[in-house]
Amino acid sequence: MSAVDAIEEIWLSYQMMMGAFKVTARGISHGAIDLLQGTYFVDSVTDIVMRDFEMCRKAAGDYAILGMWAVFERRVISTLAEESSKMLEKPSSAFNSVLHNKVVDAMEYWRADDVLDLIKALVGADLAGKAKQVKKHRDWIAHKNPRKPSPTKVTPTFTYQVLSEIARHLTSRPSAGEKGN
Amino acid sequence: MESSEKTAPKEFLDRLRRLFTDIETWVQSRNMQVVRSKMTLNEEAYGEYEVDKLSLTREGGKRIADVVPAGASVIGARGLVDLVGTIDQEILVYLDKDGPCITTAITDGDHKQTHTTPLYRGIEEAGWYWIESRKLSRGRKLDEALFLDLLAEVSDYECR
Repeated sequence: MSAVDAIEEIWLSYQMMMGAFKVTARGISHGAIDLLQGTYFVDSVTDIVMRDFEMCRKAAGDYAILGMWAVFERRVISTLAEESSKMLEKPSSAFNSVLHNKVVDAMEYWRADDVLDLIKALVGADLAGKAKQVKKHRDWIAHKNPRKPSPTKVTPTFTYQVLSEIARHLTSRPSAGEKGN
Repeated sequence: MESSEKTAPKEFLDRLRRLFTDIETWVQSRNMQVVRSKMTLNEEAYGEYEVDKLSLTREGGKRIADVVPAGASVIGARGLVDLVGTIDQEILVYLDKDGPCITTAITDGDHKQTHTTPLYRGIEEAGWYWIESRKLSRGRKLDEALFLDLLAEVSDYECR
């Protein structure tokens, strides 16, 4: 599955989840026992369940952002690896191959901001900058310290639009070899 | 060096004040009660500051929805408010005219191609917007009819 498709799939899952939450919450508020039978909601206190729903709706948005970022990050690293293979001599010497492999391995540990700086040449500074802000928000979600002030926020919609736009550019760039990421 | 003295985002507070006044006007004749209360936001850009939030209830005190400020520092918007109902929630964003854009610049050798596309369609003036994310990312400016529609969407409470 391509990164673009994977981001689309996460986005669709998020939308489906929101719809499912709504149907379930409606079932609870209308006391539709036939709809709710066999679920955790039966015999639960309505106010508590509804409060949990609000928490879960927010969490679903956070998970969508985390998921889209994970797919996106993998796609960017793959792009760097594909591009760096052009540095290999043809035919490559043993030293050249070892050095190339070392660089590709090290990419996994490069800082996200540095990686995003590298793709500016492919997608432009504006999109790369927006992706950096998504990353900052993603880190805040992942580390969840309630006492820490929130960074500049992003919505799931914004995250979807920025990351899918970049993924599309990376996939369709000249000489791109989509390798299932 | 970053100053430790941070001030509340005045423009955001002004925009919230206008939004809340509008909402109070829109719902006052519709058998709903509106209660303002205080809450605290804590954002890197502004530190801790106090804002109002609105709670909308029907007669008898049963909750319909809350209008909860989420932050002034938002990428792609000038402020964010959650409309949290009993069965769903929606996001309202404050956008400048035309809204945010995505600029793509592709450099190929000496050739640089720049392409700018608006993130949301239909942002014809500054104001609070609801983004139809499920369709074509079209922004719809918040007015009384839209607010009542959104209220029904998040709470199943029909007040039109």
